[in-house]
Amino acid sequence: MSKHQEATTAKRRWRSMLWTVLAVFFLAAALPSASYLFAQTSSGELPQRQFSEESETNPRSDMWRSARRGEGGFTNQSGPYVTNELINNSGENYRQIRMGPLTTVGGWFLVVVFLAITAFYLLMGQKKIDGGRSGQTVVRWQTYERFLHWLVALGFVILAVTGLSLLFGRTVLIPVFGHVGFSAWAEVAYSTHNLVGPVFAVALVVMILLFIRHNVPNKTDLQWFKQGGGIIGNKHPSAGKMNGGEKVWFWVGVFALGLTAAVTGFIALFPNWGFQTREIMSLVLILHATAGILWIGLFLGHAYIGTLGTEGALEGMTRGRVDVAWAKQHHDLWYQDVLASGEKPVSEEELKARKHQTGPSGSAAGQQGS
Amino acid sequence: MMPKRTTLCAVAVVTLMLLAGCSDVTMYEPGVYKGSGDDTASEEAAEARADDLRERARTAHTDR
Amino acid sequence: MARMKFLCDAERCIECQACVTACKNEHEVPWGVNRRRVIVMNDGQPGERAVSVACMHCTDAPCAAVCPVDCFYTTADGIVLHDKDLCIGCGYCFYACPFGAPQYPEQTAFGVRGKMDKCTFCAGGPEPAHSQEELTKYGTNRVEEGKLPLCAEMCATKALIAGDGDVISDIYRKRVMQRGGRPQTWGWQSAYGEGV
Repeated sequence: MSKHQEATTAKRRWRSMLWTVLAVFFLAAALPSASYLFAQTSSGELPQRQFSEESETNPRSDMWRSARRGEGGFTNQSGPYVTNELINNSGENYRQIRMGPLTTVGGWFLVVVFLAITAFYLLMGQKKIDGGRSGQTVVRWQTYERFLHWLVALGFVILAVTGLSLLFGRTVLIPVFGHVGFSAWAEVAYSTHNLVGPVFAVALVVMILLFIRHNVPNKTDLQWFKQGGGIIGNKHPSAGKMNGGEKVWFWVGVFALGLTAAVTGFIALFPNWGFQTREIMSLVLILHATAGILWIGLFLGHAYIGTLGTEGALEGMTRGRVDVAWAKQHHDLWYQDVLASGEKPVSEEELKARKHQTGPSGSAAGQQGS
Repeated sequence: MMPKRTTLCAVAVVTLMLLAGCSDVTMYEPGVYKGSGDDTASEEAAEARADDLRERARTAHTDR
Repeated sequence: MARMKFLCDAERCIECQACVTACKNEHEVPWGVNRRRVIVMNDGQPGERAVSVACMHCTDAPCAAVCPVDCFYTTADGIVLHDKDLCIGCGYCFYACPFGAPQYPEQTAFGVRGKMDKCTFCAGGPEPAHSQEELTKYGTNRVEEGKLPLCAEMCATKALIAGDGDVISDIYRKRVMQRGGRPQTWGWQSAYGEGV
């Protein structure tokens, strides 16, 4: 190999080495900075990542804070009662209300109402028909109205007994029956309450629709309330088919409390609808129990006035006919309407004669017995 | 005089109560749990296993 | 007297679901019922933490307070158990529980839930220990054998620890002292009314 050739090879090697080093320096600076090209073009599409250095608060304490607030996380487990919340804050409220005011105030409210009614009966006695019965009766409630009333009443009593058992059973019934005995009853009460509830709700709505026309408030009711409904003393304020008190029972009791209990009952009964979180369920259960207790309190009054409290009132709902004297005393305006409509009071003998004519399964009036 | 139906109802209720008295139903005594009892829930049972469980926690959960 | 507690060290939990699987397998828990579950907060974001949650065996248990049939009882070492023979499946304990621990085998219309099922701290139920009835209703009874809950015992990172409150808070306190930072005894305030 000649000297000249050796010199050119060495020069070429030296040149290629120089270029390689230069290329390394250039690429080392250029390649990483090339990412700026992509960063600038795609900055609007990539999510802005929050790194701990950049966020104002510590992400870990934020996480514990949101966990305490009851915000949900991610969980792999699945099932109808699996929740993704670390803590359920509504639970303690539910417990405090249910075991606090609901049981204590609610329970004593019912006891006091019952005692007050008993005391009232013992002190004042039954409200008699002035001047005794006339022996002549007129129709007050049709058969279908009475059937509906007693259907709702039966449902109400069943629901009240089972519902009260579930709320107060632990305080009142476990000391009597023991745990096993009460648990057996609670099982029955729970399923009965759940099965009777929807039927009752439907019957209740039909009854509200049917009776709403009798319960439209008017000026007569104002007079009736001013005179205290004639509960104390011998005054008898005028009233139409329904007096002021009955209208209060209808609107406050049957309508407001009844529909509240029905709606909340349906929500509590069908957790499979899916929107019921624990918070909603506990709220609904408390509303349901509150409406129920208030309604039962009003019901005690309604039941007393309709049976023991007033002579001649119950037969309007049992056999459908009321004594003329009772009608004049308690519902004078309604009695005038009845007479104006052309209906004539009928005596007991005449009713009996009619019954024999049509046979035992005949006409509606006078079928329900005493 | 009481109406017939009321009398019958009263008789039925009294009979049921008398029949209930014939069985071995005992009323609840306050403070006595009549459900199935749990022997492992008692103070003695808890005391007996406490040392074992403490030892186990020390060996199982500390870093070795 | 020992006082049994659970503690999940969120700095260590790696969300491997082994505690869930162990519990399901040990007690033959039916499908859809999860006595223990792992909840991941801020999943995929900075500050992500996983916590394994089951019944914390509260000192003043809300489930026991609201139960209409009074089916809950607490053992002398603080484990909250319940009697499935008394349970009527009303679901109130689920609404009261801070940790979502009570589970029910069914969900149908008319609120039929079946008997409530929850973590027993591996301590069974009121039936005689190791009996067949106890096994089918509540699962195995490890505590009676001097063993701790399986979920905690087999936790790979020792994130979930169970046992006497004094012992496990000692263990946890030592860890925190070693690694620094503040103790985060999640759920203890709610369940036991105190931290470590």
